[in-house]
Amino acid sequence: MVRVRSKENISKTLDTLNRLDGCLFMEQMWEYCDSKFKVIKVVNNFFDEHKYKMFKTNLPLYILGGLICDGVVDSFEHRCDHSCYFLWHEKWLEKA
Amino acid sequence: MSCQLTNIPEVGIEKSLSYIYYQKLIRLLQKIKGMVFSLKIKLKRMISSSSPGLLSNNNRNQIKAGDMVKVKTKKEIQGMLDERGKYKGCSFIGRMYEYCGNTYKVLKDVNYFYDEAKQKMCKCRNIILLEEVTCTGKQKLFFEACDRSCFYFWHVDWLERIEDGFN
Repeated sequence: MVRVRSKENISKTLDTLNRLDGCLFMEQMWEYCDSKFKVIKVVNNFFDEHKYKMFKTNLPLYILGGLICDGVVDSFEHRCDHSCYFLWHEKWLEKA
Repeated sequence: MSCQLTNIPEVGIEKSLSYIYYQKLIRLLQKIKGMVFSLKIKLKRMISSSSPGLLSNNNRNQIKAGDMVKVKTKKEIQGMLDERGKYKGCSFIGRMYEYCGNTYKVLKDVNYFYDEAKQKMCKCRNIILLEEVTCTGKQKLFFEACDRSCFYFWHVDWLERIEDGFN
């Protein structure tokens, strides 16, 4: 079990593009701050569909149970129903 | 602001050169296997004079989030796929057969999705996501699995809606 760090703590880790080590912190992820979740997977490798090859992540990222994207993104003209699990940087989490 | 999917190349590092060439070799073998499979299906259908089953399923526009559905049998689904392993453009990948005959809750129906390969938003219909039915990322001959845990896309014609918990 992990706890998502506070908004204040996470904000400090982000650059001007809301990223940490390349990992984007999406607007809709703020609502999970200070809550506890179960880690369901550690992401060490991922398949890039566009480049059609496997990559390793530059550091472990975490998938938390039930936390999926609702698809509302400013740059999209429609709501995306892909329902991807959010990727969480280890510095955004602490052991609960 | 964009989404993590559009941003995913930023968190990736190239594998070793040997692994990159290994991946290319595997892709080539998979392509050849696909061509053989496609030819086999074409010949089989020519001999039996049949075509992939196109259903006018009354599931359409009926399946919604929260519904319980049963995935059709392997045999039923295989009969619907074309020589590329697709049904009306939707791929049915080998790992999805393990869910055949089982019952799942519908997470949502897909109207639009960001297509990572094409890098654009695509419209679709009759596609369903099932709760907790995600890709394991394992591929034959690959040492490492993809850990992204994406939800599979299910065509409504591969599913049977269960009324009030009974089939």
